[in-house]
Amino acid sequence: MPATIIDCDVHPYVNKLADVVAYMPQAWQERFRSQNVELSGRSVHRYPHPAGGSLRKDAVPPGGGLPGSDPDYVASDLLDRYDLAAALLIPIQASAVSAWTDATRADVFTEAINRYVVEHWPSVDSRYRICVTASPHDTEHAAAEVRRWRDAASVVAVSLPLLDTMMGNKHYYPIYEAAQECGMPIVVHPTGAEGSYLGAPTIAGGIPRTYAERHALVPQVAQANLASLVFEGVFDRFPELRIAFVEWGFSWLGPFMWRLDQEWRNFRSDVPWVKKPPSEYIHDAVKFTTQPFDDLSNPEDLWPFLDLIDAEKTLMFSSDYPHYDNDDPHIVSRRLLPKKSREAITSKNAREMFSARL
Amino acid sequence: MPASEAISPDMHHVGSLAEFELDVCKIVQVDGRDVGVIRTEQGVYAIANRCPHMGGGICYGTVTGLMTATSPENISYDETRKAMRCPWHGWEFFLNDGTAVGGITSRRLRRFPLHIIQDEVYVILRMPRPDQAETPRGDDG
Ligand code: FES
Repeated sequence: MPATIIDCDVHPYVNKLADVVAYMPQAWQERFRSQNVELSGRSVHRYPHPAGGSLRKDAVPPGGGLPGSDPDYVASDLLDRYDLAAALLIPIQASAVSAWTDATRADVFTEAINRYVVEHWPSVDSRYRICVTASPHDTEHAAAEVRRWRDAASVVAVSLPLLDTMMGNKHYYPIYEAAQECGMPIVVHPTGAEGSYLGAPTIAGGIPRTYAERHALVPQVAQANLASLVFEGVFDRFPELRIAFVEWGFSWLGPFMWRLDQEWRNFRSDVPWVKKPPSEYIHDAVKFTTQPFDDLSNPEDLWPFLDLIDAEKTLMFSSDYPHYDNDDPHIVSRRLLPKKSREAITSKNAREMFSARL
Repeated sequence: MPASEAISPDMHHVGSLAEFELDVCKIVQVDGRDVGVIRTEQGVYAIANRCPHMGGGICYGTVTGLMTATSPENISYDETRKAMRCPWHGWEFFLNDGTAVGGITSRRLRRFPLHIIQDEVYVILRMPRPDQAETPRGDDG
């Protein structure tokens, strides 16, 4: 049987800063080296991970280095083991820039890491497909970076680390315009900075105490940004723009769309530029990913929630390899998903989202 | 004697006691499969390298004691109640009986009988009958 599963969330890692610094202009090489920049988006002191880190200790490559840093080993440990047809690479270390304050430094870093990943991964295995990162700070500059990758066959999407400026805001429009023009969907994924830094997306209500509490609340950021996209009229302004919300959960989406639709009906005159129910915009332009799959004692209890969001059109499989909370592709596809939706969720929807570039 | 050589068909020598660092899970190959051997002050244990949750390589995780609390201000740690914490989702299983810490699941970590004869460690490993083969289940979280 041919490989079919497409994994929409795999993280390639850079082992050491020096590997990325080599792709920077000379003065910035010196600056990054002397600053000894830490490649982590999450403030590890504010919310320390209970196991000391978020990378799977059983995914360390045989030759050493960080899990996810060796393209050959990821090919055997993930792609071959689970017979994946393609893997979308989201370089999460590049998302660290969401917590930075120097826009130029963020541009230099994202551009360097984009080059590093494009140069090191697809040449090892053609199943690797890449999200280049657009810095959220200087969005005109980031738009130029997106356009730079338009003709690169292995680049399929644009990863956009978020700020506390929400996605409907005009601040991001240059990036949307470039992404739409290049036919590349925008991918939004938690960066680890949420609730940790001034300027990063906030967690609603206040400040969570523990890693567990914060982690449970991270989907609020996706909810807030979905509402922002819809009510600011982004989907009418950029009708070809497609957005993938990766690793924010999905079982909350059905009731959340009910609420968005209800607010639109009640307050249509407040947002007259929103021409149709929010759920329709979301169905047409947005997709979500499976991981972390809600871990219920009876998986069938979740199935009505899949129907609520029309998961056969809106949901895409993701593993989140090599993070500790990754999902096993076979368990998700064979045991947790209803048979009728399997093909759509593990393959068809991703192909539709990332189109010919996959 | 080589680590995987059997002195009876089911009994496999996996090393001398001194080769097993305290509170570290060492992976040995027995009959072509990974078995984690853990020496603790409380006992020596052999476990399967397959987490009952989703099949993660639990032997690459951490040997830990039991963290409990009566309130956020009053946490306590019992280092004599040893458990294995999976490097995937962090589920913990007691080494002495394989049950899940905190009652988070009714699934148990697979353990193998282990004997120590004159400081040499032996694991009893019977190939499971096909109807007893343990596969990770995603349906009892
Ligand atoms: S696979 Fe071990 S905790 Fe999930």
